[in-house]
Amino acid sequence: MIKAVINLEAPREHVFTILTDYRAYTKWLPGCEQAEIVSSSGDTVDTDLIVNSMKKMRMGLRFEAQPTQSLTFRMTSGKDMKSYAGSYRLMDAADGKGTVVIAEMEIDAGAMVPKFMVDRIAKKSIDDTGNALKEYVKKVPSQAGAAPKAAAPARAAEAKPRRARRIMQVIKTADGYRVWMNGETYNIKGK
Amino acid sequence: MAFLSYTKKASISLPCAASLPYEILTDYDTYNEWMPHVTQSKLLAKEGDLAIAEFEITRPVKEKFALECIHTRNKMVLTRTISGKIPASQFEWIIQADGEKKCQVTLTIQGKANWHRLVPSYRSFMNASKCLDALQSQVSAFSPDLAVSDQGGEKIIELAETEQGLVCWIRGKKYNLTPAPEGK
Repeated sequence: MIKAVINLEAPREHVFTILTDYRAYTKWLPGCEQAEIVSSSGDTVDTDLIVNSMKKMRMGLRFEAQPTQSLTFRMTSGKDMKSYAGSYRLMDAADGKGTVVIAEMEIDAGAMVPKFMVDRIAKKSIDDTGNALKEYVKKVPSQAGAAPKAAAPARAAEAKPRRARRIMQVIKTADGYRVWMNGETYNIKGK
Repeated sequence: MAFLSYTKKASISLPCAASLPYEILTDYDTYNEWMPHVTQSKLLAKEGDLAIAEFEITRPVKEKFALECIHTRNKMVLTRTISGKIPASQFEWIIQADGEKKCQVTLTIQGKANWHRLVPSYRSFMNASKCLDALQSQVSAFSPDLAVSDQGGEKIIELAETEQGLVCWIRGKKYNLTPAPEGK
């Protein structure tokens, strides 16, 4: 499983809207030449995608969404790979300035292609997707308003009082002084 | 595939409640204060028992890496490398309470068995004993009971960072320090 973290300067709802606008994948997903919805039922959507990266591939992908939380996908049809699956998990950024997406991808290209090579391709694909998503999020204005949602209050509510932290201590002993500073102890002997 | 990975393990006994190392280990904004070789650390996102953090090391090369962190309150902190080229794939900190004022922390580091592990800086970064020593030092900054410096003698000066700001004790007398205006 290949993973990546994508920092996006946009509210979670906006990122989720972009990720579930499957027809618009041709506008931002690297190599995506066609994205059509075949059927949909609630938060489950079957699509037909043509992606032209290392080679031109056509595949059916089933997306299952948990609104504003996550989006998983897996290959349902296609001849070029044995399996192709992954997910996007969306979290509010701790600094209140957008969304953190954890992207995961697993590709099985069959016994003929070494796993390290497949993993390298998957890593590049996931990084390229992250960069493309960053650019696209900036271009497409949020319908809920352009300003990122402030998640900071949620974190502030979680914040608890911090313990007192000792920085320095000087102790006079029979031999001289013992100085403790930031976790280190130094003994200073008197003359 | 065990031959593609290796493990380093060490334990330390700390004279403090299990909650203190747990708080330190889940405060991802302050790892740069104590974890060997970490020069920057930042919490990116947190939801329940899952957190995403980003660390930076500068040796042997400047490298940023992202971690997914799973917690069990006062018992376990597990961090897995999501992205970045560091040879460590997992740090597992197990905290076992031993009464109210003692605990044992065991660190197991899993690494990828590639040539990077031979680089001295990476070896040092992935040295479980060094990491635990650093944790002990950080613990001692928060725990007045830790017998690092309280082995008898007269306390002359103590400086501490508290919620009210910097506090200084000189021969037992407390002074609250306030920042001087800039340029003075």
